Amino acid sequence: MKTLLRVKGIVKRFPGVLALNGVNFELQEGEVHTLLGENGAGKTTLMNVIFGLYKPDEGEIEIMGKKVQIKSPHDALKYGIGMVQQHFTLVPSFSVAENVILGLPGENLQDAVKRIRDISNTYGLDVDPNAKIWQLSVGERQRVEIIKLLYIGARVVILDEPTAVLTPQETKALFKAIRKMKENGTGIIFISHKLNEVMEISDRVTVMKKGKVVGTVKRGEFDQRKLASMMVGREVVMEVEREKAKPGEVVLKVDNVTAKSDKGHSALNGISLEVRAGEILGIAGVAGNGQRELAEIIYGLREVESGKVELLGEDITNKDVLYRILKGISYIPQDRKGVALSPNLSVAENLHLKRQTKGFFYNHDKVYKRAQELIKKYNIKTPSPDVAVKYLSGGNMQKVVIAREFELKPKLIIAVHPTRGLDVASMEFVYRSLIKARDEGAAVLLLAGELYEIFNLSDRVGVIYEGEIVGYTTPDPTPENIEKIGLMMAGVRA
Amino acid sequence: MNIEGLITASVRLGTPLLFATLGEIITERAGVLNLGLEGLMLVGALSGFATSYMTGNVWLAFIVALIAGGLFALIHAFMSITLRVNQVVSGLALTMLGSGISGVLGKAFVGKPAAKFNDIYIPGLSNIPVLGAFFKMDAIVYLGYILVPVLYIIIFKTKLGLTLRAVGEEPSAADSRGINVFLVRYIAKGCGGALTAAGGAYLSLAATSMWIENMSAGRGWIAVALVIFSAWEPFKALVGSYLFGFVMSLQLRLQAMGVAHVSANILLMLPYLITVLTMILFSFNKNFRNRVGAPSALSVPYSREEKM
Repeated sequence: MKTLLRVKGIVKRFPGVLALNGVNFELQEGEVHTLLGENGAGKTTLMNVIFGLYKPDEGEIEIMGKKVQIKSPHDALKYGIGMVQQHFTLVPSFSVAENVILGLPGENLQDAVKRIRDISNTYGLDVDPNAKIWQLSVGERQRVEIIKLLYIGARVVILDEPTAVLTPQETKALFKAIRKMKENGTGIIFISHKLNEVMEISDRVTVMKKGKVVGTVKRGEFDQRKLASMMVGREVVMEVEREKAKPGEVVLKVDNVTAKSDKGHSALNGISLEVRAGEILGIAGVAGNGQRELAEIIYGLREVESGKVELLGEDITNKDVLYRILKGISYIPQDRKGVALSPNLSVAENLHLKRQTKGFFYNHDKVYKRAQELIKKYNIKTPSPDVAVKYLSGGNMQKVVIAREFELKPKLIIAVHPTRGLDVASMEFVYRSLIKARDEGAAVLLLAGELYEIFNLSDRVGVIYEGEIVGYTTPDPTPENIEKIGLMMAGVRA
Repeated sequence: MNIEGLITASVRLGTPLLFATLGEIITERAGVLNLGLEGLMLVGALSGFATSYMTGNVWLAFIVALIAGGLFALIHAFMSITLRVNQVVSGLALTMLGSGISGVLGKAFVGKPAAKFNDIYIPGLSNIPVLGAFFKMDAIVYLGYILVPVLYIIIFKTKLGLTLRAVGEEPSAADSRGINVFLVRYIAKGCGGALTAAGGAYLSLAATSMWIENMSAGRGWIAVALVIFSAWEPFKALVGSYLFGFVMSLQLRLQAMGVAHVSANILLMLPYLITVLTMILFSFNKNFRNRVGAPSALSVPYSREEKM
């Protein structure tokens, strides 16, 4: 077997961060080499260096044994390296075929349509070459990205967290295509942090942590437990202890609500659900199936077209956000830096934002003192309460949000992707906080993308698909239950 | 009222708007917002006039205006594409710079006569009753007629256009396909600037044959609005430009008719008032509000390594 790609001693610095610290990596013909690591471990940065998007500060790259300089994606493509980035690089208003031939000299549209059909059939990457990108689902868009690379005959294909946006069934189809590419001698770099998938598809796994390679293991030498411990650095698969829920009265009732998305498409199609005091209802689903809109209609940020939202028996469908806050609804939005916090205001000011105090002026000393108390109580790591909140790490920002929201003693908490982008310690903190709030009698609606988060926290699990709850199940991480949830996430009713 | 006369006036007054709008369509299709149209038109008007005054060759004058506009636009390109300065601010700066420079350098040319494009009657076509008026124009007007379908074909039917639109819609997609986003934007900016300046040159080489300070008189701003009305499409730009030309000619006519008790100042205001009113009317339209046709990456500087 030939070595397609080898990188040696790559160092990449960003202002204030050492993103890659002497990384070595290689890829052979016809193998799937997985890069595994937590968020911020440097996987994507390394791939961006290989694909020519970032310039490395040190280190070298070899293609087929020859030293090369990759200064741009143009160079990378020339050497047969292609990448499917997490954020797709497709022009939404163009057709599939137009996207495929973009930037390629001497291609005409009719021939391209034909060749795309051939590639689709060979690899089982089903997509209509004449469809416009904006009409396609996320899974289909990903197929277009892969077709783009196969079209130019890429020998090295980088897939950056390709399964994060797919249903289990779509993932299966993707793996089929990957196996087919392997047969044809393509080398695939697969990035993921889902262990079961890594186990299934990888020939080799390289684990990264904080910009360094922890180790590389071959198929047969690893199992889930070993990979997890390499990834986290200690032998723990996190599980938060909690007691059984004691559900009380119904706090939130959403009754047959329809609402539109920002783009004017219908996002919620007659959704109904109930959350009781002292329980956590976890909502699983593929991103973009109405999760955000659901949170926003409950908090009052989005108009309801029809249906009702009730809080403790009171109809709040047409009440404004302030009214709902005063009635005890708290919101932990997915967008920490925009919706939840004002990045340029200080920690103290952000902590004060939702408090209702009398008078025209606010007492800086009091706000400062209270901030100091909360910083202690919630263990927020900040140089001082006066530091702009944007300088805090993701985990500490989330602590600021949680401190502010939970101090209001909410009756209902809406949490959307509360641990996205956080390290393990911060995740644990968020989990404990949510469970504590539950035990103190709050109703919690958890909208999360990751199943383990749903399993870790929820007392009941609902699955959302195209703006409707398609079914409920228990939070048991058994293979049968996971498959059941997977099917519901793809729209199959329970 | 004489319809032929109205057509002639509308087209002549609409042509500067047409060139400026087409220029800005190219620029914005590549994802760069240029609010410096007013300045570019003035640079085009003065450089064209000065050349015509000194050489007497109107075609040379027109070409000089194109080059001057292209170069002047590169100032904005450097600021907005390379330095990634806020495009609204840098565009306004370009307008001020253009009107300032042309004002100072133009002092020497005020009140002097120069050569001007003559009308060419196209045999056959110009004999058609009423519509023949469209073919009793000067060469630049005809150039505008040709430019519209040519640009349409380039933007929507060729790979060059595909590249241009990709850069304006999703620069990261273009970049990942090996297209040099910066180069495409620079070229679009240069060509767009040249066309806009041609609109200005029309004012001093065809519509009149003199230089007046600030003679573009807000037409650059009307063109900015016209780009939006036209949904970034050349044919709609043609209709919009001539329509505004019509409004301007109406205003002149009303003045000439001496609509006695209405102040001339109010009539002068008409085209600008209509710009504002159309903007408001358009904003009731849902498609317009959602900015169908607007390049998604408009006014967003591109950078590969931008973190957060």
